[in-house]
Amino acid sequence: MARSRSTVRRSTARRSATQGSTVKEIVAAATAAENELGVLELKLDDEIKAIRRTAFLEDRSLTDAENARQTELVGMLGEMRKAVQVLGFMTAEGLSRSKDVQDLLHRMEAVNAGLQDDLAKLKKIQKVAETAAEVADALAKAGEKLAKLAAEGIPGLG
Amino acid sequence: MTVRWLSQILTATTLLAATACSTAEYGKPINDFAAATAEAETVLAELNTQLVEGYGAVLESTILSGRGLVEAKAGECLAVGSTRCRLEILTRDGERRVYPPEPPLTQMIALMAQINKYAANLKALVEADTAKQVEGHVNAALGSAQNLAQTVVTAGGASSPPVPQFATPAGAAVNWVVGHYVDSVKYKGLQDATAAAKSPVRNAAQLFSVTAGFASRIARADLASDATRATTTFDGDKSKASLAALVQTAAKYDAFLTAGPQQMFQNMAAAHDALADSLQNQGLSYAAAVARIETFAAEAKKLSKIVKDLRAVVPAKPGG
Repeated sequence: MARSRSTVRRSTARRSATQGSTVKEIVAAATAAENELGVLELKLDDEIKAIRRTAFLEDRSLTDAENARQTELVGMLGEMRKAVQVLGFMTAEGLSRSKDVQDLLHRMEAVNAGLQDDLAKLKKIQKVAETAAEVADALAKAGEKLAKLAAEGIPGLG
Repeated sequence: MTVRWLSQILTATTLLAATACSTAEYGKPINDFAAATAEAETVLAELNTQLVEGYGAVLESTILSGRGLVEAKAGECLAVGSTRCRLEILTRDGERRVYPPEPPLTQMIALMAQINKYAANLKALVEADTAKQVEGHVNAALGSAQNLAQTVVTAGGASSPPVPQFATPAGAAVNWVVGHYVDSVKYKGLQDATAAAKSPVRNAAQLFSVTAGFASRIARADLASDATRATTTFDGDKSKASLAALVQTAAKYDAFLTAGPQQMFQNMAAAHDALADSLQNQGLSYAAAVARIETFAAEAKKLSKIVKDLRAVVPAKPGG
């Protein structure tokens, strides 16, 4: 299946040549390569079906030659489908490494930083209220002591 | 400091009163959105694993059939000077590929993790019980002040009149203002974050959708080969059992083709758009936003299970 291998190779080469390519470019290259593979798959599938149909319409089993050809075609189809898998893997990998993903990652990090600031702001409000409560409590306790002293008189001064 | 804080509170409270909005009603939809986003992250991680396994199986068959030479990477696996020991395949075309393959969606998984973190942050913001916490502290502070006043008055003599309960109305007023300020911080935070995230979430979802389509080629090729093999097997053995096997193989592939993950990621974008638009009051009702989020949540849950089950449907190693 030299043709399917060369289709994937060309697609990979195109992608490597434009490393840091945009999603649009990667998808366009992969789609073009896949279309070529699709044409090939259809052709192989048609030939396999034609062999079966001919034998069926002539109401006979496959001849040895037809069997051999069918086996060969199925093998080619298998190889061609492996090429589809390789293309799928490489395209997914290329998309993940694209500049677009990097940019989106940075934008989402910025959004998350903003949300973290908001959460920190809420924590700060809570902290201010907590401090106010502590101060008021300390003042109340101090006042209580002072009031006690005033009521009982300061020892040694009475 | 206190004056500035109070001024911020009053400004924000006035603004909030003008918009008459509350974050409380967004609790459930944001919670649902966060849960569904976590499911979507699982789906993407599972696709990553399937890509590695599927592509690894292709490379393995290339090596075992003698069409690829496996060797150490240049300068690696040596006793002197090597810092790594990794393998790669050299094909007769002169191509080199890392073996076993590395997970291909690393960056995309990181992006999805940020979206998931974003959803979790929205949830944390909407669920923050700051106002309640503040209320406790304010009441404690006013309680202390009340005690102080009572102590001072009591010190004046047994016949002193009791101090009127000022803590409750004053506390209620302070708590009302603080509560509204906190809600305004939350609401503004949600508005700003969803507006800023609208475009990146939509673009990321589109990207995930396209990538999921290409990632599915691994399983598609295996299932298509299974269908071809089942057909030729039936030709050589026209039995009831091999016909049933052919029908089952075709049904399996059909089920896979009609349950692709692309739609789920598109639903994620639609759900987030709806949430953002509803928060910005851009003509989309709260109910419509909730409906879209529920659609996404249901789809994500369903797909998460399908993708996890896919390993049972699709053999890890293709037969050829």
